[in-house]
Amino acid sequence: MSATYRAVNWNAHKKKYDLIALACVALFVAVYVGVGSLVFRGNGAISAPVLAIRALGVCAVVMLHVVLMIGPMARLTHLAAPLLYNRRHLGVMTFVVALAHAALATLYYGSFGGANPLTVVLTMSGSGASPGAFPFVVPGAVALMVLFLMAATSHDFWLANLGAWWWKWIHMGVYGAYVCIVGHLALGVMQSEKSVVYLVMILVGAGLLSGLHIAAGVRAWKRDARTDDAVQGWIDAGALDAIPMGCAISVRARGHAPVAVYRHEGGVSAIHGVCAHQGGPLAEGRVVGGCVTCPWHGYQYKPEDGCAPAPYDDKLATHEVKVVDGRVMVRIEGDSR
Amino acid sequence: MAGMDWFLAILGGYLAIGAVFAVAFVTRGAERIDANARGAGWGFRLMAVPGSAALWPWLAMKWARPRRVVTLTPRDTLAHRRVHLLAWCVIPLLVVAIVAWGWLGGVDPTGVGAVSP
Amino acid sequence: MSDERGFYVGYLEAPPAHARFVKRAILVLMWLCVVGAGVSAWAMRHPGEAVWDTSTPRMFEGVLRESPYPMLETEEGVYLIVRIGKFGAQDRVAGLADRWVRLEGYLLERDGRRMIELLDDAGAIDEVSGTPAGSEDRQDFGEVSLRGEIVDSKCYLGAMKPGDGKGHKPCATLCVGNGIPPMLVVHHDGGGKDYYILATDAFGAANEMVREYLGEAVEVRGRVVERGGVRFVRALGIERR
Repeated sequence: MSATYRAVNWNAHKKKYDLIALACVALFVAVYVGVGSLVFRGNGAISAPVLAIRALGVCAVVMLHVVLMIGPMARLTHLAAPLLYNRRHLGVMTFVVALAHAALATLYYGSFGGANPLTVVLTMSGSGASPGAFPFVVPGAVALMVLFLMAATSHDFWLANLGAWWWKWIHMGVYGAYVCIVGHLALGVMQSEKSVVYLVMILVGAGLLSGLHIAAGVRAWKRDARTDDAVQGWIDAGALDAIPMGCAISVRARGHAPVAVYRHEGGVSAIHGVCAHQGGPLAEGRVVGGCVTCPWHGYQYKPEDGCAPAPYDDKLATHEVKVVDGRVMVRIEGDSR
Repeated sequence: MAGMDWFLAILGGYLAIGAVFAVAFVTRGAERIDANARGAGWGFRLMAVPGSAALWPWLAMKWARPRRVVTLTPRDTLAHRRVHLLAWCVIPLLVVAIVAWGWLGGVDPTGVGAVSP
Repeated sequence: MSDERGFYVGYLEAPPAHARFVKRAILVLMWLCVVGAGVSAWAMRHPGEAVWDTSTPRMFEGVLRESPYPMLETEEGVYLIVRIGKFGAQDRVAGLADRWVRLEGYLLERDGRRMIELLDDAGAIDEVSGTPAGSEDRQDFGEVSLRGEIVDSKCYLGAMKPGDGKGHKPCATLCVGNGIPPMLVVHHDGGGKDYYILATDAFGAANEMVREYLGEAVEVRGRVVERGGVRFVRALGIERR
């Protein structure tokens, strides 16, 4: 990456994405509060802060599900790529909504009693190992801390300085956060909110998430396994005719990261198959405007030399390539996982 | 109670040091470890404050020994992809276990009780 | 410029197929917002009818009891007394046991169980001179086991709705830890409820005894006694169910 960092590199798509996401959050909270105050009225009305705490909490849980669904959806169909493009803004919004839920709950339940509200909610939500006595606020707080760490390190500055590899591992902490939130609900408010609606919502959510992730994972596993055993040296990447113009196929040699073999107007090029930005699969990209373009966030490299167009200064390794009897041969050597 | 107060005090102290560090880091340190932060606007710098406050010991080390890491060959994400798959084979089992424990094992305190003489 | 085969790049205009997919996804999301929010709000447990009238303070007159909790015995019945915030009123009524007093505060009420939230100013409690102290009449119903939930009486009688259940546990623990009377709520098959103020076997305040059991399903063993129409359990033991 290069070019001076900005808070957000706004473009039309990102603006629309954020506006729609904010509108959905507002719609969700408004409908929850609206229905909650219509169904429970008069002397049986639910206290306004409780209604707000619950609206924000349920909203954050639904947002987390949406955020988690986008990744595998984009791996299953390239049509979902626009949802993936600005996902980190959605992640930051999820943290903000969860923080609002936590702050309001801490102030409402923990204040007005002369004690530190944080100490109250963290120590008084239970003290035993049974479901009824489990301190349900603790897993909620852990999940919030994970979401904070993810939101705080979401800018490309952190991605560049932590390195995509570490950054991705840190951000996989969201799976732990998801499990913690299930515990926060099942051992917390669901102990006395026994409507089967909540049980169904959690199980359907978990089913959808795991179904999508497993489907996308199995697909990727099969694709990775297909090329995993090729030996090093000159490798037969397949027939030239099998590569549509402007597209690529992925070649993998043992002990080596995948290589994207591109067919473009200038001939055939082989370029390191992992994007320097977030590690996106370059072989699934296209040539756009003469440059190899990553399917994840549109990072570009010139196919001849692997250099990003100015003002960016990234460079990906390239490999020798030749066409023999209509077959594309790529030379992959060394160890560069 | 006392344990939690200690934990919160330590966490608060860590973040307080982090906040002071973050101000220095986003105004001076960030461009020492990353040339792209040179001349960056206040929007970016403000946005880097929470992360700097949270990760300050690691950043302080980087700031003390700036080393521009140039990666020509980004590492493959195969390990991540496999962990995604493995994680989602385990997570649904955890979710079902937690929900079953909480749902079936928990007695609704607001539910029907009984009085025995 | 977008690729004719439909390759999406974020900073370029989306290809038609992607744009269609996104439009559908937004519609599904909006639908999910409305239905998800509506259904989960509708499915909440009814908090019950309770009143916390903070519009105008009222005057109450009667005989003050200090033990096991501050209470006012009046002609209309017994009122528990607490302070504003999450505090019991023990310090405010100290030394006024069995005196005839006039209190100013807000009324909390649920199911005929009443409470006074005493105003903070010093004039909110006044001894009315020259009046006799009432005598304590107690009725003993013997030893029982009761299953239910221990709540902090202030939130449950109307300060928070819902003022019971696991989600409310941290608040209940704070309230009871600060001297607010703990109350056992027993639900019956037909939907009816019984309420018992929890006391120790020696008829003292049971705040410490019940503190870790609030908002949970418990079984309380003890002797039920009635005083001035209010039922108490003199608890011998509490167990989680």
